[in-house]
Amino acid sequence: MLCSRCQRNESEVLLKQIAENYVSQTALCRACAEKALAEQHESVLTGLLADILSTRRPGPRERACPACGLTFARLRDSGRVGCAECYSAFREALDDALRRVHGASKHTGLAPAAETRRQLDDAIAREDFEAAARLRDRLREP
Amino acid sequence: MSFQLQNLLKLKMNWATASGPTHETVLSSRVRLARNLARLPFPSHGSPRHAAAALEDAFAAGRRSRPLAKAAYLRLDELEPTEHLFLAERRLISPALLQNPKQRGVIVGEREILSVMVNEEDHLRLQAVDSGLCLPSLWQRLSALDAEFGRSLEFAYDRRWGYLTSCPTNAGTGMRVSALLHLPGLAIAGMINPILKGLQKIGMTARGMYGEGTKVLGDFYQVSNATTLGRSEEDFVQRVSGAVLGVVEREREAQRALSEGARRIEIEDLVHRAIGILSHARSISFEEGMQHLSYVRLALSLRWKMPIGWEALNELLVLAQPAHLQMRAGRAVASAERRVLRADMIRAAF
Repeated sequence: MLCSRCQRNESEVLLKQIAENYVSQTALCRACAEKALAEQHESVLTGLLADILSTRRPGPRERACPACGLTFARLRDSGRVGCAECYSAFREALDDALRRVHGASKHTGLAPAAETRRQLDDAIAREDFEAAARLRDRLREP
Repeated sequence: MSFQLQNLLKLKMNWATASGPTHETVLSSRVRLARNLARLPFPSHGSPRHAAAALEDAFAAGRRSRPLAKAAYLRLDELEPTEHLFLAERRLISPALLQNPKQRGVIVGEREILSVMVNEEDHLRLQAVDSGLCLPSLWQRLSALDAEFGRSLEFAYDRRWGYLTSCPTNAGTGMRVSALLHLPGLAIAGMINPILKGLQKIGMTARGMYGEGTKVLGDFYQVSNATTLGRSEEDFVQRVSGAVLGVVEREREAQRALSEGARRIEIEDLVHRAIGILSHARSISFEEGMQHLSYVRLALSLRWKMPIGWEALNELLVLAQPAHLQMRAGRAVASAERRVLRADMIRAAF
């Protein structure tokens, strides 16, 4: 099958793209697939995130992540952070953006075991035994 | 072809067995968790050395875990491009990242129920897939696997944001709960778009699985949670299950109305023409094959007597894809010849 974009090279890649909540699968040659990937935003939410970040001017300490060096400009353009530390480095911007994207800004789901153990200690310290029992059950699960 | 991939091609995919609840409409359920290693930059931003460390750690953690101790451990840089496409067609790796196979890998568990993608957008993507609408039990299995990986690896986590992901739209639970739906009744009745819009209003993402633009091939749709932060994992599982059950009910009503009403003869005609083509064609494109297989699937769902069963039909949806045909042939096959191989394979099943 010929590449459906350039109509010159043999297609090698089936590219899936999402637009308006539909997925398209297009057969492309390698060069065209790379171009198409660079142009697309992976999902509606990623696009929304990029839109929100693009209206924002980074604060003086928000220009780059001290751990991995990712710049605010790159975060805004790619919609991707570079490492776990980026969430602290760009806290204000992400706080605003995530609240609007998710409609929430606080995680209420599971935590890794080490974190659950810390929460258990906290619950015991403040004598919240109901929470402590729940956390203990969670740690006991196989 | 690698020995492990040959095995994948031969062994059954459990989701195709058509054994789960409401499998007529819900082909498969899937739960996916995005996880990153706390001490390494995320794959999109790390060096090859970082990626190599993540791959090694992930494979080691998998081998230590009970569910994946005997799984297949595949490194993409040891595989051919057709083999990458083969894995993407089985949804074991994501097609968007096929450009760069270096230091990427996938762990595939028994019958492809549990699998782990390594160094895609995130260091780890744990996933569980099975037949029918079975999200709570899948979540239990995946949660246990997550806990086992969590004993070996330190995940990037923050009290406020939860699990940290490369794309902040996945942060929090890092969880995507989805179901693959076959909705031929609603499609023929022209009711798909309002249903998709309704799903979006209740926080779901709904989209066609195959096809281009607004033309969805074979009437397969995927429904999943749109957001990942601010609710518990169980809550997301319940919400998606509830939304999917609602759609299943609407699809059943649409099928009943079509099969009992004035349009029955139209449906019978579509189905029997489809059988005619599938059992006689000498060359068939993926697109045409999917459309006709969809009609036969509708007939199975209406309990009409068909020359093919559920499991064989579900498997054809996967096996008729381009890389699968080439893997079965054991060589590269150009698209004109693929159409011939596809027609041969479908005829043999009818």
